[in-house]
Amino acid sequence: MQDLYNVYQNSYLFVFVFLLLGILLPIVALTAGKLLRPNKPTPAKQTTYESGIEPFHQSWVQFNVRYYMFGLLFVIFDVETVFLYPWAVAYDKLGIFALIEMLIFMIMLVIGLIYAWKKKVLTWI
Amino acid sequence: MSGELLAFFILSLIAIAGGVMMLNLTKVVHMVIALVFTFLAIAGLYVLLSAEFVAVVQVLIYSGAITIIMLFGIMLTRHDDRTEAKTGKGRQWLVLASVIAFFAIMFYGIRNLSLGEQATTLHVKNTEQIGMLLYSKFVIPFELVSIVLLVALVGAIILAKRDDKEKEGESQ
Amino acid sequence: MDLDTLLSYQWGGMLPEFIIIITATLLSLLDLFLPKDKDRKLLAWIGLAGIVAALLVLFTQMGDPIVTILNDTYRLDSFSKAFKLILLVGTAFVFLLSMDYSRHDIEHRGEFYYLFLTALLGAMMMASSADIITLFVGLELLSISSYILAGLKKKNMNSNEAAFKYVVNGGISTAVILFGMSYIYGFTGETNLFNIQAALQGPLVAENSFLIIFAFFLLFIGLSFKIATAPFHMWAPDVYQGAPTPVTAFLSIVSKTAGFVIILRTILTIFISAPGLAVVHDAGINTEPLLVSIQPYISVLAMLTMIIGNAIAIRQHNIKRMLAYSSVAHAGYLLVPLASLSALVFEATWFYLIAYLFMTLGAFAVVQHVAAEEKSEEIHAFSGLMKRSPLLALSMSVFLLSLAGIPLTAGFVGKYEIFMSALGTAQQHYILAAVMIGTTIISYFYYFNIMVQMFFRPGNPVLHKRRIPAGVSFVLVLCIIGTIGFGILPGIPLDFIQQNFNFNEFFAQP
Repeated sequence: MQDLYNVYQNSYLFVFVFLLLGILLPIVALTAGKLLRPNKPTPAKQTTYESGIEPFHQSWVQFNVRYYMFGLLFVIFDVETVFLYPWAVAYDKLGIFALIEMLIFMIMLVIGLIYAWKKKVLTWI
Repeated sequence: MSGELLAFFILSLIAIAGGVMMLNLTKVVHMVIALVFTFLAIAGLYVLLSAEFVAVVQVLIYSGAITIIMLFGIMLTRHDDRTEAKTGKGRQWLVLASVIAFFAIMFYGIRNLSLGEQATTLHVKNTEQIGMLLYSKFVIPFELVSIVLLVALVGAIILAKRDDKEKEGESQ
Repeated sequence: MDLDTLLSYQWGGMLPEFIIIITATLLSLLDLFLPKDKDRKLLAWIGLAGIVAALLVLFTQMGDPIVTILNDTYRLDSFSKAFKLILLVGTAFVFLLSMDYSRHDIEHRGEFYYLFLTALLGAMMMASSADIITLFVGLELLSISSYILAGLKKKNMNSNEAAFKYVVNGGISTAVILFGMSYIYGFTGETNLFNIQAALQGPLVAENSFLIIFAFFLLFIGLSFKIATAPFHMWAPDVYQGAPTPVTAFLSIVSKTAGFVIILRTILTIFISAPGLAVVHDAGINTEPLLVSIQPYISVLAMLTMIIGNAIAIRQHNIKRMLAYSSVAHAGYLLVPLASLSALVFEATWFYLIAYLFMTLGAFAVVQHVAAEEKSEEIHAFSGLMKRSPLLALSMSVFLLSLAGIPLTAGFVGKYEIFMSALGTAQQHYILAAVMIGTTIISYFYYFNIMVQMFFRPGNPVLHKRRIPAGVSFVLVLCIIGTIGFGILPGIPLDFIQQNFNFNEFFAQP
C-alpha cells in the first residue's frame, strides 16, 4: 500500500516539472530579451504607445457593473459544476436516486437562472 | 528529509509569503496576485494530503473564480488603488500582540500533538469516494446547498444590480 | 445504498421543512411571472399560509418518537420540535409586520418575503439536525439570507452599512466556527454529533485535551457572534438600526433563537463527556469534565454581556439601537442557564425565548408604526404617544414592563426561571444571579425612560396620522395576550412543555 502511495505521489513530480517550465518560460524569455537588446531610452520612447496620439488619462477606467454581475453568476455556476463532477464519477455505483437528487439540485439552480434572466441581468445593453 | 517534507516546506513558505505580501503590498492588483499564489500553494498542500478533488476545486474556485470576482470588484472602484488609511500605532501593537498570543497557544497545542491511526486509502479513487459519500449519506445538506446557492444568486442580483431608474438617467 | 433504503426513512418527519421549501420556491416563481404593477401582498399571504401549515404539521408531530434520517443528518426530537415552534411563530409574526412595512423603502417586495422563508428554513435545519455538516449549511443559509435582508433598503445608507457590517462580521464568525469544527473533526473523524461525543472519550483526545478546549473556544466564540454576546456584539447595534424594522425583529428573535439552538445542540452534545483541565486534588491528579472547566468562562461572558448590553443601552437615542443593546442584554440572561449547567437548561431557555418573542415582537410592531407616523426612529418620536394613541402607548408599556421583568408579565416569569436555574444547581452561582439582578435594575432606566416620554412629555404635532394596519394590530393583540397571559398563568406554557416535550430525547440515540 505504502509503495503504491509513493508511486502515486511521485507522479506529481511531472506536474511540478510542467509548472516549473511554465513559470520559467516567460521569465527566461523576458530576461534573455532584456540582456540581448540594446538599451537607449529617450523620453519619447518611454511613453505608452497609443497609435500615434499623445497618451492622456490613466489606463484604468471604471468598469460597468455588468461585468461584476457576470462574475458573480460565474462563481455560482462554477460551484454547481464542482458538485456535478463527483456525482458523474460516482454515478455508476449510486443508482437512480442520485439522478433524482441531482435533478432537484439542478431545478433549484435553473430557478436561479430564470431569475437572472427575468431581471435582465443576462442581457447586455 | 523526504521529498514530501521538502514539498511541504516550499508550499507552506509560498502560502505564508503570499499572505504576508498581500497585506504589505500597496497596489490592489498586486495584492490579488499575491493571494493567487497563496491559493495555489494551498492547493499543492491538499495534493500532499491526498485530497486531489479538493485541490482541483481550490484551483478552480479560488484561484479561478474568486480571483476574477476580486479583479472585477477592483475595476468597479475608482482609480484610487492605493491604501491610504493608516491605523494607529497602538492598534498595530495590539494586533501584533494578539497574533503572537494566538501563535503561542497554537504552538503549545500542537507541540505534543499525537494523532492516531492515519487513513491510508484516501488517494484511491478520491473523487469517487467523495461522490459516494456526498450523494448517499449527505443528501440533505447537499440539497440544502442548492438553496444556499439560489439565495446567494438572488442576493447578488438584488444588491449588485443597478436600479432601472438610475440607469435611464445615466444612459444619456 | 439503494432506492429502497432511501425510501425506508421516515421522510414525513421533514414535512414542515418541505412545506417551507415549496412555499419559498412557489413565491420566487410567482414573483417572477406576476406582472410588475400587481400588488405583492398576495405573496405575503401565501407565505403566511405556508408557515401556518408547517406549524399545524409540527403540532401533529408532538409526542411522536424521535425521527432520524440518514445517520442523524436530519433529527427530529423534542428539542427540535420545541424550538422550531418558536422559530415558526416568530417568523409568522414577522410576516404580519412586513406586510405593512413601508412600500416606499423596499422595491424588491417579492424577495423580501421569500428570503424570510429561506432564512427560516436554515434556522429550522439548525434546530433539527445532529450532524455538523447540516448544522453548518443551515447556519449559512440563515446567515446569507439575513445579510441580504439587512441590505434591502438599497437607497438608505444605514441599510447599506448594516448589510456590509453584517457580511464582514458574519464571515469572520463563520470562519472561526469552521476552524473550530475542523479541529473537532480532525480528532474524531466523525461529523455526527453523537459519534463525536463517543470518540471524544477515547485515549487520543485525552492526550490532546488542550486542543479540544481550544476547539471548544473557537466554536463557542464563533457562535457567540451569531447570538451577539459581548465582546462579539459590536455588529448588532449598527445592523439592527440600519435594517428594515421587520428584518430587525427577525434578527433579534428568529436569528437569536437559532443561535441558541445551535449552541445548545453542539456544545452540550459534543462536549458532554469530553475531558477538560487536569485538577490537582489531595488524592492526586484528576481530569474534570470539559463543561465544568469552561463554566467560569461562560459565566464571565454572560456577566459581561448583561453589564455591557444594559449599560450602553442607557445612552442610546435611537429606539432600534436601544432595542439592539437590550437584545444583547437578553442574550446575556439567556446564557445563564448554560453557564450554570442547570438541569433545567432547555426549559428555562425555551420559556425565556418564548416570552422574549412576544415582548420584543410587540415592541418592534409599535416601533414600526410610530416610525411610519413620525418618520423618525429616535426615542423622542414617542413623546406624547399617550395623547395621540393611548392604545399604542399602553401596549408599548406592557412590552417594556415585560422586557424590564416586572411581575405579572411573561418577562418576569422567564427571568425568575433563569434565576432559579442559576441557584438551583449543586454549586450555586450567586455572583451570576447577583449580576443578573443588578443589571435588570439598570435596565429599568432606559425602559422607563421611554414610558416617561410616552406619558409625561408634550406630544409632537402629528405628522402622518395613520390607522394602525391590520397586521400590526393583530401582532399587538397576540403579543399582549402572550405577554400578560404567560405572566399571570405561567402554568400553561410550563405544562405544555412538560406534556409535549421530553428533553431527555436530546441525548438519546435510537
